[in-house]
Amino acid sequence: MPCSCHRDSFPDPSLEPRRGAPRGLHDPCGQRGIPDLPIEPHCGAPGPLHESCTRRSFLNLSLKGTLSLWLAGGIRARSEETDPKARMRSCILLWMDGGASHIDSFDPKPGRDEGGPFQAIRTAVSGLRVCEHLPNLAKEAREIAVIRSVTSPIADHGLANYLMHTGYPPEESVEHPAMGSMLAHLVQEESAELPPYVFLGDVYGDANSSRFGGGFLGDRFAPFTLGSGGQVPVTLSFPEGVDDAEFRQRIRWLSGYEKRFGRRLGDLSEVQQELQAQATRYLSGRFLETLNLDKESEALRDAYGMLEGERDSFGQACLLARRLVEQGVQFVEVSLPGWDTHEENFRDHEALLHRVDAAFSTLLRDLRARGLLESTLVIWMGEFGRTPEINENRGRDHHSTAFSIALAGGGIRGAQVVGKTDERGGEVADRPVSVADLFATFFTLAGLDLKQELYTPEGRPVRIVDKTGEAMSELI
Amino acid sequence: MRYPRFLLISLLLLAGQAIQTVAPRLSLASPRLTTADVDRLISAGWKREHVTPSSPANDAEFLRRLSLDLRGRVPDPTEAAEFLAGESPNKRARKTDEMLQSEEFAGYWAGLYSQVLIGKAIADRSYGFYLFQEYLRQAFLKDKPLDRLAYEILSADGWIDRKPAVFFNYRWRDPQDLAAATARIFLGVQIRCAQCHHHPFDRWKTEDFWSYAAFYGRTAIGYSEQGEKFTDGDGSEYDRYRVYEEAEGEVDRLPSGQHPKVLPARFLAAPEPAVETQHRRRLLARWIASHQNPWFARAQVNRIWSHFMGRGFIHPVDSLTEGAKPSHPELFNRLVRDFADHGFRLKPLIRLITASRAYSLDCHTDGDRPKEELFAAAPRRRMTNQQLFLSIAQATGIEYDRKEVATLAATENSEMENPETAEDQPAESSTAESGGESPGEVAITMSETDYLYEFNVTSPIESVLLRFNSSLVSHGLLVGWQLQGVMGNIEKPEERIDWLFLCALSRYPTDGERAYFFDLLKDTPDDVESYQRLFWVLLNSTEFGYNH
Repeated sequence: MPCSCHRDSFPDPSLEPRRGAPRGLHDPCGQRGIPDLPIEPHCGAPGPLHESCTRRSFLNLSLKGTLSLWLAGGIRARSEETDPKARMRSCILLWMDGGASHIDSFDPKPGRDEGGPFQAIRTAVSGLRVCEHLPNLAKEAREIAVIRSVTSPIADHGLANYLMHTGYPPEESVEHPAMGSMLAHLVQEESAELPPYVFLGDVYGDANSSRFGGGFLGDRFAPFTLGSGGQVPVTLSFPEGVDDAEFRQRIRWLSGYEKRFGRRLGDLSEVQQELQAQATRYLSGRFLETLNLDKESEALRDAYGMLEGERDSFGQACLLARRLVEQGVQFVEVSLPGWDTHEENFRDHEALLHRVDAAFSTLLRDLRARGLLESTLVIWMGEFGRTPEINENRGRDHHSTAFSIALAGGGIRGAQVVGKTDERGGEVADRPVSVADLFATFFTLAGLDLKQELYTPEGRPVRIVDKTGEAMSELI
Repeated sequence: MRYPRFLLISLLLLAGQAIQTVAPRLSLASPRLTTADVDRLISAGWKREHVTPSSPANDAEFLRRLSLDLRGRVPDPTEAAEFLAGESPNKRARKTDEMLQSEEFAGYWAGLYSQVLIGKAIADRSYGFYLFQEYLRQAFLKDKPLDRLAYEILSADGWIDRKPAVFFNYRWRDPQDLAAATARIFLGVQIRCAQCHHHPFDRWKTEDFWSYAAFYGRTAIGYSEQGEKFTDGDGSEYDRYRVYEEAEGEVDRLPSGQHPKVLPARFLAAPEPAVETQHRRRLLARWIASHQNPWFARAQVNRIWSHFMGRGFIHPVDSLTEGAKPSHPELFNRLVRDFADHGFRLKPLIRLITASRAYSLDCHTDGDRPKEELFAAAPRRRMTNQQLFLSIAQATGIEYDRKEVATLAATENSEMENPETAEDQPAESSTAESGGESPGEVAITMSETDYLYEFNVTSPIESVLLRFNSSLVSHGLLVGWQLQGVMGNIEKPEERIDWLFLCALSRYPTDGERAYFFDLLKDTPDDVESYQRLFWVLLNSTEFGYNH
């Protein structure tokens, strides 16, 4: 398996100037209210979880005294850190684990050997063509900005995963936090009844799970992990024989014990009590309620995609992601593995693209119908793209020097293509976009000052975004 | 002498290498390093930095720490009570030996090493993985020399069911993954970044990486042509596969670029390519596990030291590249030489470390903690998922199937592939009648899959929730035999409190702690629910969740 991450030089930038795609000229598909869309418009009030209210408020009231004592410093409120004008409140990362082929998705090269067998189709935005296996997403193109000129030097899964989750290449001396962890750290809300950062998916690949984690911020900012189908952990409900009253009693005994005797391990007790208070809030019922997909209509659940006659777990996880951001969760990663197609690229991509098409397009419509699209940035990306060359096993290998990602919502300007690759899809031909530029754009959308620094336990300042990163003005 | 055969083999090996390379510096007669030497070299660092080390750990702290480090769980309450009462001056050393000889040690360390060797990813779990883990367990049981073990794993060819050591090569399979993994795990050196690009400050160039990877150019995986299967104990069938060396083959490096595509096989940092032999991978295996290798023994000692002391002399453990400065150069060098000169054996090294003064300090809870690299206070480490699982089961008296538990080590922080399988077995498969009077008669055999699934968590908040609400905790309180025994056999509330402290925290409560709980229990002194609550509090205490 060749590693193709060497790049001799950037192609001549004078080849062709970028043409901004025209925006909003016509709307062939109807941006709002597609007839068959099984989504009911939403009243707008967040979190209509009426059943849980009784239990929740009961628990809240009864624990209030305990909790307020437990809450130590360290959690900062959103308003202190972020630009109040920023529209993006949440982010959903659709993670294409293994690296999706850009040529077989958002950067088709029809009529060439490298283009493979897939055709390109028109989208709702003139000038933007995508792979034929993304027909529903094509109808949503007005929401989407495709960046075709992302370039990174790393074509190794583990290292590229790290780069694309943290915005920094791996360094020996510092373990960077993932973007979700940074957001959780910077804009966590004090009384959240749901975790700020949730990961939906199975952890595949090698042991480098740090790519999801809190890095030097500590594993307190690691994601709350749910299985690929959004399986509900049993620990979110009380076990048999324990009710609210008994749990409250246990917590009272525990906090009394910790307050009086917890100094045996020094300051660790305070950290632990803070975690326990946080966990107690997650048990208020709202989190569990949010994870219950039965609250959604059958038609909507189906619309998120079917796989071999069953609801596709990736689609259901996307639906769950919407329910989570609706309740104020800041960052949700939904992972879809299987893109590392060194063999049978086209067979596997076709199957995966159908899943992406259903889930991604429905997610956009669903978010829009609920008024959440403006405040939710959806990122479609993986660790890199795949080679223009098709190998002897009908596969494509790793390729990082030019690949595509897609963005929607969160206040970005959709209906456009940024950058382009050469005619083979091998190198960037216009407007190279570094990974640092991407992260600068994400954090700018979130209203964060790019110069803001985080501190490692050794006191070393690390900017939230590599200083070379520049927010992409055409998107904001 | 306990292991004459192995010593003989390592003697022969060493002798063979000595002849091959004419390296007279290998002296088998070099005196063993003693605990006093370790203490002297560590305390020199304290003096230099004007640091007062923490106080010595008391027996309860020491026993708990030792048990967690060697067996992955808290001690039995009876064991703790006996140890605390024991008056022999060398009871700590004797307890260390007892644990090192136990099956539990071998099982727990097989789990730790399989996590290092194979990684945590769920995708790597398979029946071959279990076989590999069993192979490791046997090795730790016999204290197989680690150079021997490394050589076997790296050079292994054969069918998985005959030669489970091949699982390592099967798991990493691609030349560049094998190269990155072997360098990191066996040599403590990260070369993976050099795969794609030169780092301006890193000593490894892309040529270094690809010429090292070239040793794996002929490593291949084959499946049985007849579609043969092999079966596990439960009758499930698996494809039979093997690892073998092909007669020819090269690693294709890059599709284009100014560099040659194929590079000759060359050891790390070696000036010249290696002399070709029939079996290239075996050549690499011999080089890695040899006495002359500059990294192998250092990487092993550093990793083992960090397991007990919270960090290595070089931190992190996979950054042994030249520039790295060990915190205690002389001690590190002498430990490494002692380890290499005396057969690369794990257990003597563990005895040396655990008997040291630094290992036996308390965890210093007042004021600022001294710098960790001085080893002037015991580290406070959050229990791993596996330790938490084993310790809750131990403390509450829940029986479990050890084979399955061992796999938890390798799946920590990852998700189960098929959560559906959990439904195949009833949650409480064989709850015994709870009418028994004595502890031991009340036990449930757990359906392991359920608990494994529950304990695969990644963040501390999930870990807190596990201690709040997991089925293991819930079952442990409801049907675990410790609490049943406490209620059935002990009359006085104070003594019940004492026993539950021994179960969970391996120590007796202070007077204040006893009084706190006594007061809470005073209205319902014989109510089992109150003791369940008390036990729950102890299992959820900060102290329980840390190895300290």
